Amino acid sequence: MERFKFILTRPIQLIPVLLGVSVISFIMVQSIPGDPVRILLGTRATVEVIAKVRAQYGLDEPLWVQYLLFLKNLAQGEFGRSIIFKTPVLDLVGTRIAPTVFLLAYGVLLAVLLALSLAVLSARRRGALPDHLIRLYSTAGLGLPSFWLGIVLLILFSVRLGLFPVSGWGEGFLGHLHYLFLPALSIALALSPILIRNLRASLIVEMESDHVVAARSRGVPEGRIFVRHVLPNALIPTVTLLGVNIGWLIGGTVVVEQVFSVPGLGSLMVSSIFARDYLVVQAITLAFAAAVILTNFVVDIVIVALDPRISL
Amino acid sequence: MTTSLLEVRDLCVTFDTSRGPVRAVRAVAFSLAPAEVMGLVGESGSGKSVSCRALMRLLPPRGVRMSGVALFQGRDILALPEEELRDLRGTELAMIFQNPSSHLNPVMPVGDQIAEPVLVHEGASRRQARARAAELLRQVGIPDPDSQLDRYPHQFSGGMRQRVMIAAALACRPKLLIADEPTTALDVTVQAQILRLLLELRDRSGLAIVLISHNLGVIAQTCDSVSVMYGGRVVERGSKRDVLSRPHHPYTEALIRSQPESAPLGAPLPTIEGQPPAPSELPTGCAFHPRCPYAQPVCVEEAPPLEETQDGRRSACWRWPELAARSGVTP
Amino acid sequence: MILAGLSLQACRRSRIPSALWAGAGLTLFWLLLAVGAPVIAPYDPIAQDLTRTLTGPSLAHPLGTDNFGRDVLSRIIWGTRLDLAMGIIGVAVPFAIGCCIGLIAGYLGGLAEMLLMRILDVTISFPFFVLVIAIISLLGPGLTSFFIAVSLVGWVSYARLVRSQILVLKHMDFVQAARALGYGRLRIMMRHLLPNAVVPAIVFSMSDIVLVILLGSSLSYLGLGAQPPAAEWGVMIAEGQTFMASAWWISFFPGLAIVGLAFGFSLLGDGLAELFGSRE
Repeated sequence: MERFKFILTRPIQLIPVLLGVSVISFIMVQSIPGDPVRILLGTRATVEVIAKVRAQYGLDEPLWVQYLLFLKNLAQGEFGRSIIFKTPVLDLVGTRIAPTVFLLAYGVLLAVLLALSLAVLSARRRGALPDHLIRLYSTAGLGLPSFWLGIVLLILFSVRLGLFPVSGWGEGFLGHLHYLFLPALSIALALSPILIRNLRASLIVEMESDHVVAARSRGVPEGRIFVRHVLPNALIPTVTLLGVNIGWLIGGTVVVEQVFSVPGLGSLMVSSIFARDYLVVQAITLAFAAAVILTNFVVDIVIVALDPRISL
Repeated sequence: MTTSLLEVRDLCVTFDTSRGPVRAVRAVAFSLAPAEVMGLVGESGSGKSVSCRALMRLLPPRGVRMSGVALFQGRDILALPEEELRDLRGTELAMIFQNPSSHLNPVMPVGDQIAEPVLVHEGASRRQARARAAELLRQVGIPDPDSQLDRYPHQFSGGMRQRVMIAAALACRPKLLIADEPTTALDVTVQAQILRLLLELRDRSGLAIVLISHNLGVIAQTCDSVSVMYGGRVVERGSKRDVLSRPHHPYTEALIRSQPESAPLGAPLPTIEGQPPAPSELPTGCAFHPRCPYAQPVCVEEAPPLEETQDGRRSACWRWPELAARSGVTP
Repeated sequence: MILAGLSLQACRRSRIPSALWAGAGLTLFWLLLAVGAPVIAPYDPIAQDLTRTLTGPSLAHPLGTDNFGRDVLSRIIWGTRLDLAMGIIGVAVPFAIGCCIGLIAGYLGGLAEMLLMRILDVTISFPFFVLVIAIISLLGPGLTSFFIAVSLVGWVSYARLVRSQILVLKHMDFVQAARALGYGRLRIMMRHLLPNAVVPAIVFSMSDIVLVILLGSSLSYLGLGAQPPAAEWGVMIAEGQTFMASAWWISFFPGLAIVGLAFGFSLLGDGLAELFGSRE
């Protein structure tokens, strides 16, 4: 348990990072083109109202005071109002989180299943035809655009075969599973090549490692050697890689949500950009940054659980 | 040796490389009685490790060709089907390795690694296997075994890791242990402890041991008999006392002379001239002839057979009678 | 040990990895396509022909035509220019900036290094993709915004790579020797440290090009990068999505082009990694 003490200390270490993230957000809000009060109030506001709001938000104060006010607002969950939806940004973002989280988790799950089965097949039958095909996929697939995959899957399974809906995210858990299958598969197909490459390479290293030879010398059956000795060691670098790629993965989700009109954070972000609804864009950016920090924290916990040699 | 436990005849191992076949082991032969400790000596590249891995059938299946016979209790290990081989490994034959750090699974508690053969071979319950693991740790001299079971290899010292590996190898009470340079990676004091432990285990359970080493001192302390390897062949074999005190092969003689212990104090340490040959570039005839002070034209032409010399000893040298005629090594 | 040695010998026989050859060949193909687009492309990529809209692949139009009757093949060939430029410029600028900053921070240490490390920590917390989108949203859609955004964010990985190399190299004998000979800091940095530290960055830049091409085409698909009627692959895929039920070829072939272009750089990266003996 000693090794898991970082779970308590890490949040303190993250304070500088969180401050940095808030500075970047602040800079973004500051660089919003046009007068922020006009954006906040719309074009029909009177001069008096504008002056009042300026004072209220401290816009006449020096920059560092504005930053402190900004921090205070963040801490209170005050992200301003959306100019399009006329609702508090926080509420708006809140309603859109669930589809995105569901899609991300679904995509990662499919990607891991895909990577695990293909990498194991490839590594165990090295040099055979399946191995060559999987290696081709895992190299050529590095450049697979998830949005294009989404469209190809739509053409095949929705338009031609009518198996899956074209858009939306459905009702209830099973509905989500059904509606989000193609979006999640697009994410998984785009993400899995890099995982397969990494896992295949580390599987091969482990299969030829000394401790596997030693286990074999004790008469441990090959199947058990693979599950108990090869896999647990080979998974460690792949989990790390998955953590490194979480940011990229979130980006992919933004685009895939757009392809399938999933009512999540990504499609809200894109529509807000075109509507110049900057406060929404900024809040979503912050939300995604928080998601990355959180995921990396979780990945660290998993790594420490998998590898007894590591203590953070 | 009528009741031999292991009888190896004509063992050959050839690696297929891009530059053509490389004969790493050439017609190796030896035999081993129950509870006998045999030393296998030679420089690196002499084929001692490869021979032993071939005996355990641990060489990678691709690009390796093996031939010969290795009778273990009447069964030819080299011809066994995969299934039977697996039943034999761990229960009858076991092996420990030079580098205990890399030969233990870093992410598995040592208790599980020791208990694993018991689970696999004897169908024991987890609890029984765990109890056996604790007992084994005690046998190999690890104090407070119950609290050590859940620790991981990196939490042990090198000597302790080697003890853990011995415990795992001996979990199902094998009859033969192949020890591939088990002490080379360890401190001298720890070395002696491990060797003593191996002998204790032999005395207690009648374990036969093949001890691979490049260190004659280790062999002298531990073994009953010795086989000396050079260039993929056994060039001399016999009882430890005979071979180490009155070698019948010039290579053995040179090896003994180059031991630091045998040189007079203050005198320069004699070394064997030249480099041991790479398996891919073996000289013609006797592989030792380029470095041999006794070499004659015949040694370049033709390799001497491993013939019986005296008292059941064997040597592969054309001029062994001259060597045998002198008593002892003259420094 | 012996076994490993023997199998290594087999690998060392061929000096230049085959992945490098294949990658160089494929990349050269795309380069030629980009340079020779005016000559190679059978039609004008932007000229509309409303008499031949949405026709499937045929001899006259091997990859079909889109909703404006534009030849898909010609648009893909012209698109090579944009997508290749996005990848190369989108990596070259961050590469140059990152190497300089990493070099300075690694060699000088102190305040410069501390500042860099804090910026690294923070930037890494943002999803690269999302941060680029956010910056573009402030600057307004378009390729210029794309390049600015990628340069603002992308240098971080290179700075980190070069810095970690410098930290190792700094204490090596040849650098100490150069210092003992009285060479100036600038000379040591440029002549002795940089050439050695830059190798991992070059290997990484190949897979980075793949990511930047994907990012660029994704943003163009979303309408934030290249703008219609530009012949850019992501734009083409977006335009084709409306017609995916009747004219699959409009979206399908540009996607293949992205995969093919990225494949070339992936192979180059693999080959370089093998050549320099570094592993992923």
